[in-house]
Amino acid sequence: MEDDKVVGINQTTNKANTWSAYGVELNSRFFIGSALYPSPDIMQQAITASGADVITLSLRRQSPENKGGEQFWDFIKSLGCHLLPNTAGCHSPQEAITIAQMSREIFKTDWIKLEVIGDEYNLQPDPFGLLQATEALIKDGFKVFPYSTDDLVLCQRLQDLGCEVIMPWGSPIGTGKGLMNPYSLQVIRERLPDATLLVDAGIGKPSDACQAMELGFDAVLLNTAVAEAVDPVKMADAFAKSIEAGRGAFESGIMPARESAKASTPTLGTPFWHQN
Amino acid sequence: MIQVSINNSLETLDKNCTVFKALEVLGYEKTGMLGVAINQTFVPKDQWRDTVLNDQDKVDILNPVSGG
Repeated sequence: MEDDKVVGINQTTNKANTWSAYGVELNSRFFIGSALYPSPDIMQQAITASGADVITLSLRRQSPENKGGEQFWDFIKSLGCHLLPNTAGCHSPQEAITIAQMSREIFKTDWIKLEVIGDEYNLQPDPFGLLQATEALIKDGFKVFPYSTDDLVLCQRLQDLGCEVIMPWGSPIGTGKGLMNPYSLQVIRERLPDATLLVDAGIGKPSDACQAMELGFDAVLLNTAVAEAVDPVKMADAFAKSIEAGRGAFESGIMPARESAKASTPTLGTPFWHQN
Repeated sequence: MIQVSINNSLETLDKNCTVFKALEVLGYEKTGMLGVAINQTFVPKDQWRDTVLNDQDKVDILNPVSGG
């Protein structure tokens, strides 16, 4: 993918710790959405502040007067990020496959954030439809980023189908409830050591993102927590720092928790010892 | 004449109208960022001139928008 990746301001961000998704080298472990911002200008500023080099976006029906979403597209181009189109709102594998094919032509990328929704109340992914669509899209040459639940076996099946990247939810989209089931996410990390894992959806605050990174996730994808903050630009920066901190903690090796206290100050030479 | 649903709005078009012609008649910018599907099947841009619409077809014409 990415032969004609747009050059822009975020490409000036260079950090020592690069990593890759489907063979594409990335600087930031922060994937950010382009929706819900108070204005296009704030969207641009927030995405720039995030340091993200992957942005999610979508396709929708629009009237001819919209002139092909030109204004939105101009804003996106100016950011110079890799594009990860989604299939948001699709409730069947066929709908998702069609949107993916349209996205590939329009955005000139074979990356697709695959969403197949199974329940309207909590926008929970349909595991059966997700597997069906994943299989078809991989056969068609797509690099699939599946939005899944935190079910270990589902994630294993997605990897078996050829997904190098898997994106279990932290909690339902837009809830901001954080990581509802850290145990499940930790088990997925341990059982799929070779998969590139992102927590996608449900992250509400920087500490949630930090927690995901401390668990060993490779990156996080979020949108609402930044876009609906009182100050999205400042929040994007806060998330960027928390993601970097969480990754640093994971790479440093976190101490095991203990049940009882253990003094950190040396006990040898403790003053007043045995005086009473 | 045929009746075709375009983005869920009923439109009347000439018989044997192609996708390319329909986009022109309806005022879409064909050089813009457009994607077309007929009855939920993707129609690549290089097939717009050869793809003829049929009566009662359901056509989706999509543009880039923000997304999470």
